[in-house]
Amino acid sequence: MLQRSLLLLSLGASLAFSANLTSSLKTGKADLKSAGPLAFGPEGILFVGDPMGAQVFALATGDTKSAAGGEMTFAALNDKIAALLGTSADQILINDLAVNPASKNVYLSVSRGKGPEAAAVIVKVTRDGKLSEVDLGKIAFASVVLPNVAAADAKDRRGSLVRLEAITDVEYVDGNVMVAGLSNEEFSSTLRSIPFPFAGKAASTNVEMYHGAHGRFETNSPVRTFTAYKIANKQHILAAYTCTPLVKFPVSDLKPGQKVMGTTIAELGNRNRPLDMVVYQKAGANYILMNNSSRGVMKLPGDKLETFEGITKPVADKQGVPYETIAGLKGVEQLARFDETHAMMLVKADNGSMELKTLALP
Amino acid sequence: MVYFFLGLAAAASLHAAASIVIEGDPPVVRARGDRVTSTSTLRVSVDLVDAPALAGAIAFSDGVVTFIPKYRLLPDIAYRAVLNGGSPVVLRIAVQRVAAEPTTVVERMYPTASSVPENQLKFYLQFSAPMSRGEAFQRIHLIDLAANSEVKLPFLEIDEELWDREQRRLTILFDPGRVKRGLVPSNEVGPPLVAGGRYRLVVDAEWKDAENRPLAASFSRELIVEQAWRSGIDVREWKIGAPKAGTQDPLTVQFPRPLDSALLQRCLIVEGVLGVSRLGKEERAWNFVPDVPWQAKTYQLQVLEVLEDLAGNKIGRAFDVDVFEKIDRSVATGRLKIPFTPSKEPAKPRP
Repeated sequence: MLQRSLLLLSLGASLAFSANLTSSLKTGKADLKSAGPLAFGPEGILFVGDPMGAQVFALATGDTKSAAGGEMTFAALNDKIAALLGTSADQILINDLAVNPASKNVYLSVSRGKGPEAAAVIVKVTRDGKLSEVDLGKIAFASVVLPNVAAADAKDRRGSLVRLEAITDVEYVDGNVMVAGLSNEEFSSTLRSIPFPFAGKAASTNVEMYHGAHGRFETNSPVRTFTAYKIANKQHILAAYTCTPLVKFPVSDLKPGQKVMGTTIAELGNRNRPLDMVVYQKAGANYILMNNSSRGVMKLPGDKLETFEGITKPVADKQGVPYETIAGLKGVEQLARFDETHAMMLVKADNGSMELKTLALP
Repeated sequence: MVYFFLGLAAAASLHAAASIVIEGDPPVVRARGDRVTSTSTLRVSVDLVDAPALAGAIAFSDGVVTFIPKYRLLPDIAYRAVLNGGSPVVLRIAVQRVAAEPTTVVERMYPTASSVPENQLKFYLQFSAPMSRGEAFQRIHLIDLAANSEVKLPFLEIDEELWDREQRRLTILFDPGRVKRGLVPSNEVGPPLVAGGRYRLVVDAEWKDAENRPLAASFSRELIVEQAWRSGIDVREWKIGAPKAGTQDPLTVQFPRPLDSALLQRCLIVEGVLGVSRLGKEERAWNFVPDVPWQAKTYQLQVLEVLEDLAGNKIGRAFDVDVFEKIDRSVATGRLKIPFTPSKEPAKPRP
């Protein structure tokens, strides 16, 4: 849900081609109905998935000054956000986390309240530990309504208020905002690619995602989390499906009306959900770090993924790309790239207290 | 939220020559007295050491300085107000809550049939009032009645929780990795529901609604599990009951097996006709009553191809297509049409 691979590929390049990104935004009230997945683009632009409003917002944070990374901790985050918003910790939800790749400030999407009237809030935690709310009342922004693939055909006689899509991940990849969603009705699997600056609905490419288990049982497969990553010098998406396999597919496959079948590169075991993925380099090698609902934080080798030509036979637990589990990490609910050598984690303790904490990339 | 306020000055504290209160609905903080001037400051925070100031606006009129908070001040929370940098005053909203009796219940669970296939993909819980987010997966349990034990992690637990906008209907997916054939989860731990088994789905009463009150009652439903459904929906098996021309009798469509309740309500459309549709018993039928009488002409019943049965099988396409068997593969066209013609037989006069 984070900047991830952007760091590697676009910091230098993006400045050259993106000088008009911020100027495409207009100042006013960014009326988010909800604040879900977050991702940073260039120029301090923060993309926010708003599932309740079925929109994606681009917010100019103005937070563009470069700063060093290093280590950082911020304790009792949920209590402090609750105090900032005049409520108690049991009445907020922290939905996602993103790190500004330039300033290293941490941004969190938060719900104040848990009912349908909950307020959507973006909270900023600075490198020196100051907490503040991003003022959505007056901010340079743009938004795009997510084309509703099913409802484009469907006349919902109940006022189309019932069908919604949860936005499970948002990423900025080479000038496009990519959005993965999961419907609350059909088991659909659309991945959308929306060029930025936003130019209206029509510009979106919607691709149906499929998964074939061992080349045999083929289903639609909603994407749970994904990241952009170069495999053999070609831009790919690495995605974890809701049915657990980790798959790859080239970005060049994302063409309108195309049926995209991800190639399985790993099956990550049962009773587990991948949450976030971070791609990084260490000592000349590439790695993928992934936090999971029940199998802790995994490290996978990211080099030569092209040599994993897909799992085509039924597998025992843990097959495909080998992985190791990082010892001593528990309750990692969010994971994001922080700097060249650290990731940022949101860790929930058994007593419910939440802490922001950097992790030296293993 | 709805609260009754006890009088105007809900909580007051005398401080030197100023009084600071929370009052009004929505509540604001007001300071009055000698120390209040047009340049007065009024800082409000929660009552904790080092708590940041709450966001809001300050207004001054008629000797009163008012803090209008950006977010509604809440009962049960102590706030701290500081006038002109002086000593803090602790304030609470003194309200008598609307009778805290829980009233929200699970109205219905879909599918409504007691018998479901082993590869059942999802179900819906319909609540009588908006619910809170964030605790769904602690509150829903699947009990294997033969083993008398809870099934571990049967559902796709996602933090997003698949609610509708009002947060009255929740969609729960069974873990697709266990339902779909050929994957590690389904090979190792098997499907959450096993054919021949009996299960009980339980919803805890402790689940909080949007007003932070528990449910008025727990909910439970017994499920009998039959063999998996592994084929696509075949519309040729549907029984269309065409109405009589000149009447507003319902068009009835019967299905050999139950279909997904939510999709059924938006995937069947009589082209060019306004009216009201209803689901039949166990979602095995769909009825449509037109706003004006049927004419003696051919109508088209449109069926959107996103329609699914209980196991996620679509029209002409099974949920997990076995590509070795090459069954049922069809090119999606988005929708198909079934013509029907109301008969010209005149309506019988009603007795």
